[in-house]
Amino acid sequence: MNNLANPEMLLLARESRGITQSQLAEKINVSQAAISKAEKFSNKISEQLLSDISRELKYPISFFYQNGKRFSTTNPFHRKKQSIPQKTLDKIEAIANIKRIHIEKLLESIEIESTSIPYVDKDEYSSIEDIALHVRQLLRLPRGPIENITSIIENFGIPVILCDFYTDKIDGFTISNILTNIIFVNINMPWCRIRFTLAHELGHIILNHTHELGIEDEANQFASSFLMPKNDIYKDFLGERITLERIASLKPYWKVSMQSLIYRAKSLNLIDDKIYQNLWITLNKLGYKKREPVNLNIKNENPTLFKTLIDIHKNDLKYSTNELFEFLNIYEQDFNEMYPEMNNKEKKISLKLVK
Amino acid sequence: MDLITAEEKLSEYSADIYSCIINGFSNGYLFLKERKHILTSTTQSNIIRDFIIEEARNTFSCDMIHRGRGNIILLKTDGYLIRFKKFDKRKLARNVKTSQALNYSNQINIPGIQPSVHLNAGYILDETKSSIDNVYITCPSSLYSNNWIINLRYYIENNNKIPLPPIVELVENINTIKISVKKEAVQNREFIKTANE
Repeated sequence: MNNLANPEMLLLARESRGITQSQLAEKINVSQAAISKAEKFSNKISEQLLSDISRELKYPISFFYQNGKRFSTTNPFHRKKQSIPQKTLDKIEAIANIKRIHIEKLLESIEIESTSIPYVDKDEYSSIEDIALHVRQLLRLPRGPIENITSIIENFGIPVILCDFYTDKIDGFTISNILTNIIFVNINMPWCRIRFTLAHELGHIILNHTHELGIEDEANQFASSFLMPKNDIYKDFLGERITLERIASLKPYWKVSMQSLIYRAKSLNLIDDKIYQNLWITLNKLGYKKREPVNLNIKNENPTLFKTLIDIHKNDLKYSTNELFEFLNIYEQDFNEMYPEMNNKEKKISLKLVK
Repeated sequence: MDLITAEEKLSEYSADIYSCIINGFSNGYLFLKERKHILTSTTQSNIIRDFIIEEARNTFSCDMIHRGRGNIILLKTDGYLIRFKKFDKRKLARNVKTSQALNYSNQINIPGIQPSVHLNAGYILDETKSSIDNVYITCPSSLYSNNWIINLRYYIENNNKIPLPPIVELVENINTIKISVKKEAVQNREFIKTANE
């Protein structure tokens, strides 16, 4: 343990609970300025203050002595619908950062032999469509729909983490550092949308995006082309009367939302403006813009990389459950809330440990 | 042939008829869901009908079921004959105009079956053709008209749409990634364990 508590961890802890400095200060009877200073300077955190904060925020003392670094809101790429309150965004990102720290700790003991991420220089290609096609070819994906994009991403060694984002306004984001990329997606979204988000985030990673303008559009183009390659989806539209029924029948096959199919058809000029507008009007009228018919839901995918990391620590490194919580500097209740998928004992972990 | 008598006599079977259609549709739809875009609407309807009939076979007693030609079954009950159909928006069964279909819709007795009132139990789909919008029992007077219609939504709990049970299926993972424990991690762990003992 370090001699000084880490102010960044103080900030993460507070934001992960969704409370302001003033609210925390009031609860532990100190001034807001004291909390503010503690979150900036490690030498301003007295033992008593740390103990009070630890008790109030329900994190063990050891949590605050970690070397973790908080990634600011400008670091990750977001796929979000519209502006959301900063407080909500801070909470989501704080929890994601805590999970990232967990994954980084778990990875310290692990060696992963994965498919190399095919980073591309987009200037060498004529279009994003070509890049998506090239990536599909590199991965030797068969023509037609992608059966399991989660598997493809996790085979790159990129953990896919399902999170409750407490809002439907944000779909997902990636946190990247030198060691790893981690994709966080909103579990409250239907899987057709989650798949698009995953392809979108994969686009950011493959296209080496930093923070330049237009990257969200490029990532969307990549996702669209990767999931619905032009040459393959063409035949499903040509010679057909494009009605909502037709779009609905294509959804379970392509495993994307009806809305993505309509956008894709329009971007490939497979439908004219009038049909395009009519389809949107009908979708809107029937309430399918918010939630598409439940019967058209597609199969869930099942991220396993994180579960495998935990499993290896338990089975091979002989961590007891309590030792694991100590190692991750987290209480059991938080662990169970952060990783509800770990409570489902019936789900099988399909990755195999290579000895 | 009047509606009030029919409602009374069919009340005992309505819930079962309703669930046959709902469950049959649900199972049939699941069967064809990922292939639907390559099937004609006639093929889709036939598949759904076969699944509904399978439900009916498992629901009703043998003495109520009359097997017709092909995979057609009729339910016999209290002077009524009921067949399962998909309806159009006017709640009319879509039929090729065979003499058999005409006779059934025109209420002309079927040879070998006790004279009965002919009914259709069927469903109307929503705009995406992926969910049932409503279920009805109709009494046809011809191929193009009905004497009366019973709306089986009565058996549905105040919903506009029939709530089909959400089926959570998982896609299989194909993993090529290899994960192993670092040797030094095992050694460190063993050292800590021994020290603690």
